[in-house]
Amino acid sequence: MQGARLELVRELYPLDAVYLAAYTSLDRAWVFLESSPAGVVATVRSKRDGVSDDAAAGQLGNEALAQAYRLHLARGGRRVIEAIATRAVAGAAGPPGLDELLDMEIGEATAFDDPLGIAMSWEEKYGKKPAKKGEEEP
Amino acid sequence: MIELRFEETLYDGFAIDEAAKTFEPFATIDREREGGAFILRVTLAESAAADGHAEADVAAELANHALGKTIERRGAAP
Amino acid sequence: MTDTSLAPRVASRPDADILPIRYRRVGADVLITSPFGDWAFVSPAELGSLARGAVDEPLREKLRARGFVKSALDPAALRERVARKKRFLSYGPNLHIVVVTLRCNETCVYCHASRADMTATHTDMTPELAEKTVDFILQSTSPSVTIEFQGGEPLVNFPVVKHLIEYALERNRAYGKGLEFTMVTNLALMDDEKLAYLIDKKVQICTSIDGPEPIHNKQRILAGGNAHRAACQWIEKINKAYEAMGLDPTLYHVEALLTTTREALRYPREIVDTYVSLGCRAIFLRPVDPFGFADKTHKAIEYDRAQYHAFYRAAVDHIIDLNKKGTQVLERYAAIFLTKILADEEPNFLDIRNPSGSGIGALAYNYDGRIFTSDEGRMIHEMGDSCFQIGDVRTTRYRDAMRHETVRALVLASHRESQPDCATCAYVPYCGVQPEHSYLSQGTLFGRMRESSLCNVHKGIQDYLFEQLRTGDKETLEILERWTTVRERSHFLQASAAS
Repeated sequence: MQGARLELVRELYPLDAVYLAAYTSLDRAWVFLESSPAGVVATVRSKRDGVSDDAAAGQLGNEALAQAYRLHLARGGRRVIEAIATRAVAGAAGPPGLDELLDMEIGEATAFDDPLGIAMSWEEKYGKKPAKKGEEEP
Repeated sequence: MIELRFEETLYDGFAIDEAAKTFEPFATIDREREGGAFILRVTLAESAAADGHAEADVAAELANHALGKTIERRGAAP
Repeated sequence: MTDTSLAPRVASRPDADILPIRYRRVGADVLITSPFGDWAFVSPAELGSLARGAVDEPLREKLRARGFVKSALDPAALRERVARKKRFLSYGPNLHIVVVTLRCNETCVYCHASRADMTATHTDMTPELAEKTVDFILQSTSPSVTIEFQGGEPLVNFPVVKHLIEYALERNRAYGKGLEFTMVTNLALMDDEKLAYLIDKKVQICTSIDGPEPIHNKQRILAGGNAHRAACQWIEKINKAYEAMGLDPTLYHVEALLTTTREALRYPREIVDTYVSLGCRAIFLRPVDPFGFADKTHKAIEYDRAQYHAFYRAAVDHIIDLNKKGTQVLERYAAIFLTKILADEEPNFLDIRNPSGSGIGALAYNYDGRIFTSDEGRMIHEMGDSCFQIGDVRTTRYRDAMRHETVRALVLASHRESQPDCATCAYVPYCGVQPEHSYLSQGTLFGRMRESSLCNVHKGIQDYLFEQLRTGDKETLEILERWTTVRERSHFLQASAAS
């Protein structure tokens, strides 16, 4: 594909950052990715009048840098981010109402399913297992 | 005819299939898999040419669609 | 732009007993802020000492007094403080914007409401949809909700406004929420009968005033009429009505908003004086934004944000002067930031909140029943992109709307500490950016703050405020402190009876 070529080295631009940047560019430019020894080469062709291919590639590069840094920050602050997001959504949503509970498939076939193993006592789950017949007690 | 070479390390096969299907009304698309890449050979349909579409643009849009779908499938979409 | 001349020139070995800081030059000093919102001014030399971990006793004492010394902090008190400022996370949307029609009798150059002509009756909300909207709103987990009527011009569809109010009052008897109504109107279609109803039902009135009559009428065109005169006439009448009811005029009056266009930039003092002459006690110096109509006409009305900052500073300098001469009036942006900076409180202004109020703090309901994460999200829909729609009042359950992936994405995208530039910005404890603005102006929810006009505005305002705080002028500081006082307007709270 014709266009401006931009190399994004993997040490600075993880593939996720490249993808995130490319995704936000798809309405404004045609973006084609190829591997290079150092990372990824993006060929960028602008869709917009007045915006050159070089400018579009530069915008992609800016966005890739922002995304790479954002991913770095997110990795470090993951627990805080998850705590806030969970609290925000849970606080806004609130507990399920009667209509939702009634919609849940709780019938004879599923009522006693225990996918999380919470119906098991701690001893059953983690305690010493009794010796099998013929073996010594552990 | 325009040949697009989608490296398997960068593009998802299902995404490419979906992109190719989406653009079938606009072009004849021959697919091949070779040397770690999905190769699509795109030839503009006569009806699309009559409507004023350029082969290079249709190929580029198909590639964009494949990239977008790849990113969505990967779960990296923002 | 980060002042790199402040960057420490030796390897940083921070003192383990000092909280992590972010810094920014303010005048000849350096503002430092802690993750919890405490702040102090230090000299560049003191910043260097902090960076080297060579904190002498006078500096340590200064930092201790300002809340930067870890060993002097009470962890329980700190936890309570953070929880208090983030308590909004525990409940859902409290602001519900209901667009009862897109029809409008005025044409405004910066309009971001995506208006329709007065013949477009198909853009009127029906009574049935109004009822479903109320049913949805009352599902909010927020103990109080404000229903804000917008348009177009909401008075155009007054029958549905009335129907919605009556229905909400009746339905809320079972929910017992703190319920308030507000209306954003150009007032041109107001009459005595409508006003009597709105006053009786305790609907707060908010309007737009773009400054003196020539500016206002140039920007807000009322076919066959005088938009400024109509608005002012009704502002006066409404304010008098409140006073006649025995309500404190300093607290109860029509609120007015400004949209600062290129034309307005030339008249900061005149605009302030116009507001004061109308009895307004608050002025919100909002810059133009990229939504809706304003996008099409931005070439005519947009401007460099440096010009906005010059306007803002001149206007607020004038406001402070007026205060010194005995006229009590505040600037709303400043009040919002100062509440965080000086009062250590979260004013819950949804667009400058962290995370933002999009989806979790506010919702917008279009005339056709569609639900959006904000009014800006709704305007983006009217511009052709529906990505901020999270449901429809006819078919969507409240919880499903709140658990929509778009709401999650907005929360994540507006968490400032995890965004580049914000992560190292001294103003991060006080700031917030609406992701819809970043999406429209930059193509990404997260935004790139270096290029963000919104970040530019927020930084500029906070720079101005901290410059004022740095001067230490007693009279100015007292005025700014007064702006953080929140006086409840309990008259507008609807009485309710929960079952």
